[in-house]
Amino acid sequence: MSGFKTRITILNRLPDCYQKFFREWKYGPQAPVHYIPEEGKWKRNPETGEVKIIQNKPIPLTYPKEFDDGLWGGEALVRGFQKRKQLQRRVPHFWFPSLIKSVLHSEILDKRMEITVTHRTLRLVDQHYGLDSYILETPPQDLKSNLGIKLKRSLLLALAKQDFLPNNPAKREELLQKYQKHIIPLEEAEWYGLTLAEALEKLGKVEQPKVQGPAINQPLKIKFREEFIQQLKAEQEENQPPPPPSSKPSWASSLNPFKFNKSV
Amino acid sequence: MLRLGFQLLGGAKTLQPSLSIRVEQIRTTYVLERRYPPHLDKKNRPPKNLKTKNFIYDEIENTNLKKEPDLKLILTSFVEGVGLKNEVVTVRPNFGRFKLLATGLAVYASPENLEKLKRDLENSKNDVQTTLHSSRYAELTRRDLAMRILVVLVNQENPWTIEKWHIRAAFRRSGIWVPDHAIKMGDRPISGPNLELEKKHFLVTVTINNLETTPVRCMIRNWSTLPELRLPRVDNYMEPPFEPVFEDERQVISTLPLPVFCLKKSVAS
Repeated sequence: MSGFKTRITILNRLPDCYQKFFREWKYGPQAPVHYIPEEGKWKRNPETGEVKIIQNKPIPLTYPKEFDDGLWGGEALVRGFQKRKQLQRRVPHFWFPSLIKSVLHSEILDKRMEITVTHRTLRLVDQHYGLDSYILETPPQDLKSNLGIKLKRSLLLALAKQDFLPNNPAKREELLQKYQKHIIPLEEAEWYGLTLAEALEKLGKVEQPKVQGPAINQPLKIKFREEFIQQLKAEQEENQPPPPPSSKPSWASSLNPFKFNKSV
Repeated sequence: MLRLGFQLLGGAKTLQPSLSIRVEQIRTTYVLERRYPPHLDKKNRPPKNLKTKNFIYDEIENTNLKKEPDLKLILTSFVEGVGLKNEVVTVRPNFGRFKLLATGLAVYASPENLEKLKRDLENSKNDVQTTLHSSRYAELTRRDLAMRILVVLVNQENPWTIEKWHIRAAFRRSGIWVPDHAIKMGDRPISGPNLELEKKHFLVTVTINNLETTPVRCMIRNWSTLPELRLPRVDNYMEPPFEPVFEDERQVISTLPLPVFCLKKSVAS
């Protein structure tokens, strides 16, 4: 509970654009892939005429660590049970997505990338007429994986800086025209697609110069203390002659463990 | 005893990956449905937790077993057997993705691309592609003809001079219908009966759709209606080296691609 609370407070210190992105990415409603949602708000039982509300509860998905290195197009691992016969006990069963390695081409980055994908991803890329459109038009909660988020970040940064394809300005203009509605300001693009740890690191870098800058509200006691020390030093030099060399205390006294004990 | 023996055998088998394990490894995407749907949440209350019962699923559909719909693409250059430049074609998805889109031979037929294509065609107005290729299969046909060796049968007794209709009949014998205007003979006449011309090659030029042209090798073979006059049977008479009728055609005849059966033989040996 306490961990949850501190997380929220940390998130609240970050800029609004990052908060919006992060909440979408982690908690946003995902497109239904492994189930078919019921449409409408209410449904009536045809026999009894009883009206019930429709509540679509999505099937919980599991994300293995390999998930972050690919684009699975909203698919993931489903962990559940099968009940194969009426009088049989339920049996645990995992439903895995089928993964293939494929080469996808990004127009903006001018790169061909070998990515682990599913057939659904390839179909989605075809439906969006290209990898760039697919990544830019898909919300972060559906891309979900680190790779997808980082790809989207690099695309948004390239569009915001307008420095991609340095050798082909005509193509660049054409692409800028094509992806016009996806261009966001550079400050927002720099925050987009960061993990929470990276965002906090960036926040620290942003806040640090403020702390190390000129001390405007320095407490007066520091100033007075320095003045007082200067004054004392001046008095000491004026009044006191150099002190006579005092006899050194014996080495045994420094070893005495009961030196500060009152009883000794 | 027998049962124990079977059990031992079965135990030994399970140590190795068997076929049944491999069959289970085939992984696909599923659309699932809860057998026991969860209870409804109350208003203004936190949602209820799912029970183990709610995790029992039934498979409705396996999307990977469905046939994927075709892809619609615009070709950016001529592709043999697929289409001409600027043509909108419908292809199987994996062929389109990996052979056409990945190599840059085509782009997606998105509304913007279709509009751009329409504008480009209106602006240019001269159809350059028709001067290069007549149809999507013409190039394949041309290559197929260039590979062939056409056997022209001539008579051993009666005098003859090779004409267009000989070539047309020879094409028809090998299953190709060629009109007379598509065949162009050489300038020098070949006449007989002459047994020295047996198994010698000469060239004719065939035009496809009044556009693509290719030289075709023709081989003269003698034949008689009288069985006693016929030449003895020879095996592998279509294999190189090829002897030309006219010495200046030797280079062209040797540079044309070999027939498929010769290529297969060379690969096997």
